[in-house]
Amino acid sequence: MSGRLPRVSTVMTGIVLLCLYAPLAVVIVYSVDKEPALIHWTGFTTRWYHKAFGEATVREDLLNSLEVAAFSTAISLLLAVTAGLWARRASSRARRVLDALTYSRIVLPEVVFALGLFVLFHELHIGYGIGAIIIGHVVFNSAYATIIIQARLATLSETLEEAAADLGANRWRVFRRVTLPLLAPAMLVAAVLTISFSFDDVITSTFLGGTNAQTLPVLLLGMIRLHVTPEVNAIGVGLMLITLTSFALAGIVTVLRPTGAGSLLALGSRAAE
Amino acid sequence: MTLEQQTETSPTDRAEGARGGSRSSGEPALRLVGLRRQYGSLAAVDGVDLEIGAGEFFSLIGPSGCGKTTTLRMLAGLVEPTAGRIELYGREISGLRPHRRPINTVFQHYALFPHLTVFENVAFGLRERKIDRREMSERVSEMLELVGLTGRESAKPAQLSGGQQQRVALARSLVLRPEVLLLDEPLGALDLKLRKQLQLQLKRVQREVGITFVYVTHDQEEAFFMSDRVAIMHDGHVEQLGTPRQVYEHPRTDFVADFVGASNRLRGSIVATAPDGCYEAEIEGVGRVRAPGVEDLAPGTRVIAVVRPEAISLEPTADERAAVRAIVMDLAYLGDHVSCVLERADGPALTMSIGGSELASQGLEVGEPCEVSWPCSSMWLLAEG
Repeated sequence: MSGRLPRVSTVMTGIVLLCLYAPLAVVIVYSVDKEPALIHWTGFTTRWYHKAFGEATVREDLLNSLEVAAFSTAISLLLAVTAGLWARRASSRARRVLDALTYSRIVLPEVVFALGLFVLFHELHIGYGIGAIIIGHVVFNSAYATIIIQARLATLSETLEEAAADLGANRWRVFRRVTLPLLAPAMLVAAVLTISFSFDDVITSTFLGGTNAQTLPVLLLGMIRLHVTPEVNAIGVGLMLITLTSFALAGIVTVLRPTGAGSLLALGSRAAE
Repeated sequence: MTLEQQTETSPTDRAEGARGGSRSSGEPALRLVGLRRQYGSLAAVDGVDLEIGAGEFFSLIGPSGCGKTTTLRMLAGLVEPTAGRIELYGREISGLRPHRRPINTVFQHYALFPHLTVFENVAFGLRERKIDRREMSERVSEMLELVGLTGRESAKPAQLSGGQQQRVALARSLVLRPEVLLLDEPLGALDLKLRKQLQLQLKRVQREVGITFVYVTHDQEEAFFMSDRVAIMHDGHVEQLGTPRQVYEHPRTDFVADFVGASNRLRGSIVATAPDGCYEAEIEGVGRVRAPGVEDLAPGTRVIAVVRPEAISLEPTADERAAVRAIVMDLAYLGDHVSCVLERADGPALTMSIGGSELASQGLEVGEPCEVSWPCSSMWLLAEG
């Protein structure tokens, strides 16, 4: 009995993982397949990558995506840290309001927020484009970032900040030398998440991009409407690589600073320091 | 290496160092006047007046909730007083933010910065004061030497033991040469053996640097061991102030007597006053005694007679001794002495503390009757209530 159960669960896990990752494998394989008809393997080539990323639209949309990810992440982190620090001082009632506002941005359908912003920007005569997309992404990204930052703040004793003040640091110096470094690992995790959410987003970007700005996922969606070409696969792999790179960078940073900063995964468990 | 020798660098720094504990004009280092802190309708600290001398090792002791930590936090500037004044060498400091006070704190759980090394932790305050690099590293090294942590400069707090962390916290505060060092139950999280070691070390460090220490603890024994004077706090006010010996031998109230561990408290009443601060008193189950007590006990006053366990012995009754018959209920061997619980027919049980050899020579056994006595002059009378 005891020997069989793990085997069953191993097989099940294997099947689930296969189903989840097979599509990715297909995309990767087709992106380097010589045969453009996407039927069978005929040999390795990087031709589709050259072709895809050689196109001006693709390059431009990639830059748009990077820009949106960078700015929406930066703004989200700023909002999240501010909200988190405010919540620590606020009454429990005010904190509940903040929590409700935060979770609603995650729970409510993204399409509703996108539509709302679309209408709002129209009324206010704010043009659609990169700026509008960034604001749209901040709506959900800041919610995820706030949750992560607050989780970390909950484990940080205010005594550390009191100690810093006691040792002669004014409020800004306390934040700069104690609060911020201790929040850094959580901010890194939040950044990795928001970058990948931003890169991944189609709905908000479609609604708010207008006619003159488009992100890479939106372009991809447009391209497969016509038909799936090997270039589409190459772009897909490109998106994957960018997200993985941000994860890898975050991982490297945490590995290089093993003590104090805390590892990416152990973040939540580093209480009572 | 004295503090004065270290302060030959910047003028501001010299002033800071010169004030650091070495004032000897007789002026108190700290004066607390009518200090109060209210939380809602509850007064955590309810009118505390204290003077703490320069270079003194002063302890605030009391059970949890007595207001000692709140008092300490008001001194540090972490809690604002509702009313009253705090003066540091005659200068009012109650309105100053913590970073502007020449007072530093060793926190209960050390509050070391986990992202900084031992060196950086100790250098934290020096960096805020813009001390130059070379001097900073000298001062940090000296301090680490003082607390016995040379060689651990690049360790992170998480890599240190509790005792070592405590010493880093101490060094981090002392390196700033504060005029007053506040310590909030700094040994609370350590095991007994380490506590004893660090008590000695703290005492030594305090003597060497000559800085005024204000120490908060709920451990009466620890406070008595280390302090020049103690203030026993109860319900937000100071119940009694004095040297450990005064407080232990001559508690002013029943609360203090209980808190300092005088476990034998017998009821009685004053019959008449006698010379030399003594009273004639009738003690329940003991009889008429002549014993010293607090001032101004009028005849007829209900009193508590404190009998210290170590005053009781198996010596035969004689003049000037109070005696009772009792049955031995329990014998607890505590290494250097034996604690005996004696049950009496006509009064509360007594605890007697005697040497192991005395116990052996008298052949005391659990369940056996015995007669014990103590000198009347070793008793202490205080008003009941």
